[in-house]
Amino acid sequence: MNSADRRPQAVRWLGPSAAWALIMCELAGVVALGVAASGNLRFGGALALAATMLLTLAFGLVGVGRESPLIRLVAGAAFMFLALMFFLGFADLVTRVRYWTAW
Amino acid sequence: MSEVAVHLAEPDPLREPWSDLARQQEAATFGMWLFLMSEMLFFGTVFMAFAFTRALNVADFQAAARETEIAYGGSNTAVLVTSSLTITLAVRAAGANLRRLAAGLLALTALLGFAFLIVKGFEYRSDLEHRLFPGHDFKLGQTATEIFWAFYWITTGVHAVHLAIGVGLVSRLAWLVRKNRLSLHSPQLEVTSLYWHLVDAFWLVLFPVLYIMGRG
Repeated sequence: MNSADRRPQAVRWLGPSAAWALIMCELAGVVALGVAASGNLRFGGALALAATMLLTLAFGLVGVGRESPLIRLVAGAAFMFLALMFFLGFADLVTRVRYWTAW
Repeated sequence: MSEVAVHLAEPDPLREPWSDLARQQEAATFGMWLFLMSEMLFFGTVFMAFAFTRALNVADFQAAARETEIAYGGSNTAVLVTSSLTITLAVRAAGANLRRLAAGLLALTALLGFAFLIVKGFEYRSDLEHRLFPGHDFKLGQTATEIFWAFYWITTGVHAVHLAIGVGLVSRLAWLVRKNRLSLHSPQLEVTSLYWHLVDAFWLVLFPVLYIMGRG
């Protein structure tokens, strides 16, 4: 097997490994926030890193981007329903000034 | 046994009523995504209830969250993320017809899932020793801190049940692949890996929400 033949196989293993390494770095960031940060930085940072970890998992390890359009539609619909549910559930609460001062 | 004989002995992955493997694979993956969607909505409802209750009881939830142990949660997250990598590599090894490697990676995945459950068991024991189970003997008194810990036990418990099912499914696959009783092109591999990733994804949300964000 020459080097050109090896390349596709190496790339197939490299992608998931890179995604795993990235998630581990993000996890280290989340743990660091839990130990060192406080208040809004901890809350917002952990939320952002959690979303990034999920996206890295979805596209790096699950391979959502490589699925058929129908499956991407179903996966997207699940996220849309979730977003809609959270929006409707919190629409009243987040528009109150008292809510933001409590955080 | 020669490679040719092993190849000939491989079970046919095609099942009724499908006429070709690609269509069967797509139908199985689609069916699994529909199941995952229902699971996402179930967990999503629980997360929303948690977020809403927290918004109404911020101080109590912060006090309750400070009792969680980041060391247990963090190490378990690393274990679960690594298991997601091994199952992805197992599916890819199967795609490249590397049967022994695929079986080994599947077994490693099941082992990591089992390790997660063991660590979780130690964490539960520590929580019980610290009287963090809602009830008359609850450490933090009759406040909204109990609601936080009720969410903690319910969500991590439901997650552990999902993971235990996953460990069983992946162990079965590892055994079938190792014994040459399952085709490397069977949709079962892809579908089970999707389920495993879902369990991992839930934990990637649970860990920051329960152990990190809530600490205030």
